[in-house]
Amino acid sequence: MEKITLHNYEAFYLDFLEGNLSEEEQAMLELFLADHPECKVDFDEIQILPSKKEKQLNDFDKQLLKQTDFNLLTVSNSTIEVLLIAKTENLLNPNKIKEVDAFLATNIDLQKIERELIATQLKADLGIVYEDKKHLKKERKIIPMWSIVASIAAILILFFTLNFEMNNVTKQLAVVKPISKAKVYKVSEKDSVNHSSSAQHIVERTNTMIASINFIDLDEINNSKTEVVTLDFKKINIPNSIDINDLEIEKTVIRRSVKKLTPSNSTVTMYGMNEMQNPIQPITKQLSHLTKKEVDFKISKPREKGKKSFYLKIGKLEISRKSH
Amino acid sequence: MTVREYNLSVDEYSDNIFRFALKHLKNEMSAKDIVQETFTKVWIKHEEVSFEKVKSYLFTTAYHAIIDWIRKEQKSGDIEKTNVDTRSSSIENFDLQAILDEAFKKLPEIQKTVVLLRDYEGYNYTEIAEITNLNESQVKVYIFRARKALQEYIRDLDLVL
Repeated sequence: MEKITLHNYEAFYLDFLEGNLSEEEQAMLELFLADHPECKVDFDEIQILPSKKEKQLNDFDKQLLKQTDFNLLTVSNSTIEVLLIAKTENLLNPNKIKEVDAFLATNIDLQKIERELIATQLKADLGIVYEDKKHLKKERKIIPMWSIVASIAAILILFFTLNFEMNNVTKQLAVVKPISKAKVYKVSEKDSVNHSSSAQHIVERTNTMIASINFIDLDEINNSKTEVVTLDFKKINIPNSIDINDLEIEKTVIRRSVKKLTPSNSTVTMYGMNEMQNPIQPITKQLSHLTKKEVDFKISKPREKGKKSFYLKIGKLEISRKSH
Repeated sequence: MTVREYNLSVDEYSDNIFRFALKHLKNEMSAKDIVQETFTKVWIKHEEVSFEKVKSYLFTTAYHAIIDWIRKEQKSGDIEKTNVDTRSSSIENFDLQAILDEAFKKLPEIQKTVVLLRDYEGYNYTEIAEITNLNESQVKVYIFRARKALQEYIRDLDLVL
């Protein structure tokens, strides 16, 4: 390697400006300048000038700043670096790749740059894994089949329970016992057997209500002392001059009730409405006014301790109950 | 995205997010924190994020978490200076990946991000732009500059490739 002297250092300057100095030569030049500070002034001034290397960077950046399709670039010394990277990035079409390859064919340095660019593609180390995945995961809300079945069963049980309770209410309505002989309509076993399912017996007449019984299943009477009856309630105004036996009673309001009777002396009765009283008349009147429907509520005086009956009417809905 | 799909995304992408974070931060514990934070944020939004978009959403979230982490560390002064020259140690044994790792450390964070998304995950420029909230031209410039920087690093070592 040639030694730098006062006679040849300018040549080294020029090589430095053109970027042709190796690192070792550049180090030698800096050492020379340290020994010859009188030359350093010039060197510092020269350093301000752009080097060949910096000029190349500017070309590269300018090409990048252009919004031009890489395939439209002409292959030249100023565009080759960008085109080589574009080729590495698979951004060139086959024709442009051919052009670039032809340009590289005679230039070993550019071929080396291309290999280096290909080598810059990073490869993930698949051996590096995140091991704590289970803590990232969330529990799924699995509804087991047994839970669904149990839910359905619970709903069904609830439904049938409520239905059973409603039937009980109906039964309560049907279980009527003689209260006083004056208000008892006796149904003999013979009468019951002879009645058809549509037969009706008016068992009581009040000022505003008539109750009747339809015998539906009379066979039960003899076998199990059980009578299946349907009570019809109809609130009507009956003039005293009309015989109640001539009235036609509307069909069933409360259906299918069960009552245990002894066939020989079965008796059916209803409380007379005139024995009942409305303890909350102002409230029912107000409700009637608000709902624009007839609202009535009556309770009977208990004949014995703990025994009470009631009658409730809201519009067309009428419910009565006798506790005993 | 259902719970099942979310859990599937953990299986599919947690490793990728971990490697992505580790490559940036060079700190395993911090990288794990980033993974945890990323998936926690995605879980919060899992009903709004479709499974088809979850990978992109994960990387976007991870990218922002990494940037935040780096900013905090830079403020506290704990982060390693990226301009420390470690070339001499890496060329003792010719391992291109190790050399590239050293070169990669010297890249600006945004260039690291775009190159990792490109090389590790195979995203195109449009997808990278969405994740990093850049436009495609910016992504292109960052990738090209990163390639050139990595190539010059290799060239300066005068490796025989």
